[in-house]
Parts: sequence; structure tokens; C-alpha cells
Amino acid sequence: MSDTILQRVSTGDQSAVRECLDRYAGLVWSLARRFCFNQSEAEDAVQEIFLDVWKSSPRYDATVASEATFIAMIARRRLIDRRRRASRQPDAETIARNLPRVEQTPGRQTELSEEATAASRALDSLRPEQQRVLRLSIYQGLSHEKIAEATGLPLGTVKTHVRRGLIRIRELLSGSGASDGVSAVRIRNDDALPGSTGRKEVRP
Amino acid sequence: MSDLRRHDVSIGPEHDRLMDLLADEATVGLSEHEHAELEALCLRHTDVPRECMQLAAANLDVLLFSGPASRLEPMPEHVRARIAPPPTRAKVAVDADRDLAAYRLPQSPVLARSSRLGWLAAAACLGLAVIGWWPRLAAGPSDYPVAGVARIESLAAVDRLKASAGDVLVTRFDRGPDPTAAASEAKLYWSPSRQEGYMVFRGLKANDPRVEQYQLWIFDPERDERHPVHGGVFDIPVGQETVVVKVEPRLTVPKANTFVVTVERPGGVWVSDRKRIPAIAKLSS
Repeated sequence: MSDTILQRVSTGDQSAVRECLDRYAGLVWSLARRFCFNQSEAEDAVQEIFLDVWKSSPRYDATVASEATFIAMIARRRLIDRRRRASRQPDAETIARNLPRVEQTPGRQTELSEEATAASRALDSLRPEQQRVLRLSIYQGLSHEKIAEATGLPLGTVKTHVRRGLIRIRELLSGSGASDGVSAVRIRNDDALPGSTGRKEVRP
Repeated sequence: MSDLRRHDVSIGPEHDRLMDLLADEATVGLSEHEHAELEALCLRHTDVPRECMQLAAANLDVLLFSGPASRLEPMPEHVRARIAPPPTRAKVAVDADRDLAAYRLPQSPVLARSSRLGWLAAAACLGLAVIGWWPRLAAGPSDYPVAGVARIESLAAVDRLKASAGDVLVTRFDRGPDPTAAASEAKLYWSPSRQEGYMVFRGLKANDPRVEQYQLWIFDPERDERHPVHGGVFDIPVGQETVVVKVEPRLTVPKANTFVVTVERPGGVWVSDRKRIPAIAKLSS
């Protein structure tokens, strides 16, 4: 199997850096725009994120996650850290402005990669209440307290839904009974995936 | 049954707590205390995939941005142009390893020296994670300049800034242990609103830019301490007693509170080896 982009980045291949940006800059930028409160913050954030991506590239393991997921994980971690440091939560207006929409257009499902379709199915398979909580948490970045306020659910129930929802997503994405909790959501031509088990440390 | 499910349903408050913390980490982040608690729990439950929840959340985000109708927003060209390329292979690898090592070390050589040196103790008091701040790098020439070249100005430029900006902060640099600073004194002028300032050095040893350069780093408490903002590289010319160096950080540092000068290879580095620190200035807000 040929090296992945991140594996090539880790060897100092400058063309891989360009490919990485070509393929994933939009993903990282979209995440940053969603998490950050203005463009200036987002611009700073993406620089930090890609610094992390470069540094973490030697630890990327294609058997644990797709590159897109690995990079999204680094981006989310960094963005969550920034938000905590700023001690701010997004307001409704910010969310409305920055939140990309998952539109259920007729052609969408056929255009998604197989893994993304599986992720979509996994999300759809959750109970409506669990789905709602997870969407508010992941896609809108609301704190558990704010989700409890918005939904009228007890805080403990919100936390349980988030926890169990994430676990369920990973289980469903890990394929037919795979026992590793490892999945692959790929953007288009991402690398081949899964199949590993056990504890994998990919933390930057 | 998957590992996750097994652990989730395995009875025990400790497992529940572990899974709660992992979920919190993936969605809202953790406090320092919670993070420490999570690390301790992970050590006792090594069969639980450490980043299972973070990967699940990332999966959902990738899903959100997949497909033609996802409204994936292209990164603007000017933003992409500012993204720094990675260091070369050796640097990345060593950096990553030492980054982890730095977390494990209870005390770095630099911090050990600080017991003898009040200037660094002051930095430690600021809460700067000097220990995990700059992992060491392998020696070797830079392949490209990483930190822009700071402009050399005249003292008149300092006066102009003081006259035009209403918030210029002034402080003295403390001398570091590096021999280049043995006979030096320096002042920092910094305008938070303008995001610019000047360093005025007197007696700082001249450098040979083919061999080494001075590099400025700026800390902001709202940024990750391991990644201070690069303030540019600069030279002290031979025979020039007073040198005024303009401070123009590449990124906005709204709460800049510490400015550190290091000696690095020509072109500067992304991550300093923290071996040579001639000067450090703390701004009191």
C-alpha cells in the first residue's frame, strides 16, 4: 500500500504538504469557522491546527482512522481548547451564522463515500432524543448545561445521551461486529482503512 | 461485543467516570483537574481506546462536511498562504518525541537552572509551562526561514510609537544565562492595540548570521504555552552598540505578557531547543 499523505508529510515530502492542504484545508477551515467567533480567530486557529497536524503526522496510523478523521480530531481538540481558554460559549446567532447545514438533498446520499453514508446511517439509527442531543453537542458546540436548557432534559440524561451516542456511533462505524471501536469516515478518495484493535494513542 | 460497549456496560463507577470524561473531552473539553483525573483512569484501564470518543465526534464532523451539499467552506487563499510548512523530517520526529518527553519530565534543565536564576523563576511564576514549552530539536541548518526577519529601526521609531499609541508598555529585559547577554541591557516597548513594538538592545553580542541568529518569541496566556508566537529573527551587527528591533508578530497576541529572545540557527526554528536564552521580558498588565 502506498504511503498516506500524512505519512509522506512526516517524511518531509513537501508535495504531500500541498496535497494535505488541497484536500483538508476546507475541512479544517469549516470547523474553525464553526467554532470561532470571527474570521480573525479562525485564521489563528487553523495555523495552530496545521502546526499540530504536522507535528502529529508521524503518529498517524491508517488502521486506526482515516486521515480526514484524524485531522478533524486534532482540529476539534485544538478548537475546544481555544474555546475553553476564551471561556465562551457560542450564542444562537453565532451558531446560525457559522453552522454548515447537512442538507438532505436527493442526491446527497449517493454522493457520499461509503463510510460517510455509514456514519449518516449510524446517526440516523440513534433514538431521536439521542440524535438531537448529539447534534447540539457536536454540530452546535453547546455545553451540556445549555443542551439541558434547550431540551428540557435533566443534565445527567444529556451527558448519558452524549456518551452513549458517541459510543454507538463508533460501534456502528467500526463495521460488522468489529471489536475495535475504530472506524473510518472518509472524504472521497481517502485511504483504505480499518481493522485494528486495542488501545491506540494518536494524541498529538 | 465491542471494547467500547463492554466497557460502557461493565459495571463500576470508575468505568462510568472514565467514559464520562472521555465524552466530555471530545465535546466540551476538560479542566486541568479533570484532565489529570482522566489520565490516571486511562492508566488503570489501558484496554479502553484512549481517543474513542474524540474519533467518534470527528467522524460526525467529517460526515457533516462530506458530500456536495455539505457547504464545505474553502479556505481563503490568504489564510492558506499563512500556514507554515512543517519542519523537515528529522525535526518533526524529534519534536514529537520530545514533546511527549517534556510532559513526562518533572523538571527541565532550564527550569533547574532557574533555581539559580531569578529571571526565569519570574517566568515560571507567570504560569508559563516552560517545562513543556519548547522541546529540543536536532541540530542542523534550517531549510527555510521560519520566522521572518525583524526590521532594524532607529530610536526615532520608538519615539514615534510612544507619541502615537496611547498604550505603550515599557519594561526592561532581564538578562538570561547565555554569554551573548553578558554585557547587555535591553528595553521593550509594546503597544497591545497596535500589535507592534520595539526592542532596544545595548551591548548584546553581535552575531554571525551565517552561524546563528536571535529569535523572538511572544507568549499570550490565551494561547497554548507550547506554541508561543514567532516574533521574527534578527541580527546584532558588529560594532553597533545600540540596536532597535521592530516587533511585528505574525499572529495577533492580544494579551502578550512575556517576550523571550533565544539564539537559534540561521533562519530561526519552529520549536526552540531552549538552550540559549539571552533575554526575557515580562509585561505587567
